[in-house]
Amino acid sequence: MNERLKKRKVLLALLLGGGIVFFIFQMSLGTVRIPIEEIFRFFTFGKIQNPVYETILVDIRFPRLIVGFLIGALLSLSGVFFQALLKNPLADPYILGVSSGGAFGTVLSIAVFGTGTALSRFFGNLPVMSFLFSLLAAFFTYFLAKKGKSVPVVDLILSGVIMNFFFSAATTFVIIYGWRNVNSATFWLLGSLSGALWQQVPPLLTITGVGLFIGFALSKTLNAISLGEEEAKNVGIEVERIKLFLFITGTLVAAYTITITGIVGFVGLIIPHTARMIVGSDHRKSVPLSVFLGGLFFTGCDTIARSLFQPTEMPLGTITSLIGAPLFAIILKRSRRLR
Amino acid sequence: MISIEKLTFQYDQNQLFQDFSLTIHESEFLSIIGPNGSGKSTLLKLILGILKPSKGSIAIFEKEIAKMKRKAISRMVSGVLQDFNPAYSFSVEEIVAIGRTPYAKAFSDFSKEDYRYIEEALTETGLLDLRKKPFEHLSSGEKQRVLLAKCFAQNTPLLLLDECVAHLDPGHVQHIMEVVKEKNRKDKVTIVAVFHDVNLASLYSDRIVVVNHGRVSYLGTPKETIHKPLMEKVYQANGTVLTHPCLDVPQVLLNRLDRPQKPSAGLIIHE
Repeated sequence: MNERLKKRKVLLALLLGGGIVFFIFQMSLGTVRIPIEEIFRFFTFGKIQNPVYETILVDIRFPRLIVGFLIGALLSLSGVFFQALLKNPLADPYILGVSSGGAFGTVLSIAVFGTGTALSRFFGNLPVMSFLFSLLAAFFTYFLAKKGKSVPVVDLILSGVIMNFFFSAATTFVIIYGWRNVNSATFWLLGSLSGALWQQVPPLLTITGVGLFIGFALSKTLNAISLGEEEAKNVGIEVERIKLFLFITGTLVAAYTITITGIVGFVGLIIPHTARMIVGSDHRKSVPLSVFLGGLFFTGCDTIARSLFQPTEMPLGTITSLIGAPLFAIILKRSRRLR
Repeated sequence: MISIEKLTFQYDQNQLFQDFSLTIHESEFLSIIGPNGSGKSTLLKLILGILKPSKGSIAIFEKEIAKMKRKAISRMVSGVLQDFNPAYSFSVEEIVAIGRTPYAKAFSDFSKEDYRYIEEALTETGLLDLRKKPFEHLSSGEKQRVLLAKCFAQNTPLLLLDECVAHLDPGHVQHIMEVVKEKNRKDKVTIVAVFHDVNLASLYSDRIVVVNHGRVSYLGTPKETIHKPLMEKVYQANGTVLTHPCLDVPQVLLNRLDRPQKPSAGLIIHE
């Protein structure tokens, strides 16, 4: 027991240490390379020599890193919820079509209500449309794939594909027909953190806090649900209620991230999978690790996206998909072998 | 301990049970046998509260299961069901720990008591050496022992087993059955087990209930239930029923239909 505790402490220290070093490193990288000393000065509230650096760090990079970290954490958490709910390690908001549904809702909201009006502010601050269409997409994917009592893996993926096709087309339609700012819209759709702002941090922090709270509170329940519905019922879980709850929370969390960054796929798939490989499948360990790694992965991909392809920026979703799609193939192959 | 009264259960237009009544006594080992599709597994799921009766009632310690909360049921009844297929790779220990879910608090770690039950369950099922192994790497006999250990950790006065030794070799069958019988003897846990192997049911049960077409065909001790009419009327099988040479219980041997069915002398044959 003691040895296990020690191991866990070492892992925790490694992760936290690595995370901080990674964070500082990422602050220095970008279109403008900022020396590491300046980053240290920034964190120790020292006087930064170059005022340009100060502006970049305070107004652009730091909020972007924090927003990115929180969004990565949320996407990863959403993936954990969907995977437990569908009893399937391949579930993720992007694959299930939830993300495209949310993107469509967001675009529709802007096209219908415009920007700067009272209505648009209401629908912008509270991403109602994004929530609504994410839920709709998730429901459709689920019911299309449902065969009697079970939801087969391949059917689930296929109906996710259908939802993705439909909502991508519908999004393009709305952009061209109603909005016409194709360039900026397309870039947003491919996923980007370039619109990150300080004022996005408080709501994101709140949602992440609530999400983590739920994740911790439900970790033993998630373990039981991973064994199957009947097994979960046998150990006293009100399965139907929990499933509905996970479904709605997972969707809302993913939908919220979409309004800020657009569609960034596969994070909810890659990260929980990696976390399980490191600490095992017990959600009491894999949930917090997923959240942490999700944040690191997301900011890491964003740093690559914004610093390696100057003078332009690579869309963030491109990077995560390039990493995520092959991994998806591997997990699919492996889960077939298990059956 | 359990009283099933006038149970009626319909599933997809199929009437599986009609006016089915049965009383299960405290700390007995009761086996349910009957032809395939006679609703044996369904009966277990009804007792577990996974399925709800269309009519009639199932009560445990005089409390009706349909009106109880899931958590309350799970502290009374545990079960080893068929088709266990976890979504992720869990270790043996992690699966056994899930048996403590009905007692766990949301935010804290499992308690000392929880860990004691987990240890005990692993010991009783002989899994201590395998505790860290991933479940999917185990043999089917070992897997069944893990499921049993999970139920032991759940620490319920009633344990339901759905063909928990089907498709296992004789060594694993005996090991598992002895572990179950020991639990029944030592901790007075009531066992309700579904078998398709009539001989196993006869070997380990205090009572046997024969279910056919949603009704009780026979009910009683192995001697009262395992007989020629059971084989002929319920199973439509041609067999010889004799007494186990070492134990005073009936056992069934199947006959070949193309050979003479006259037994040689010196054996106690039941008609």
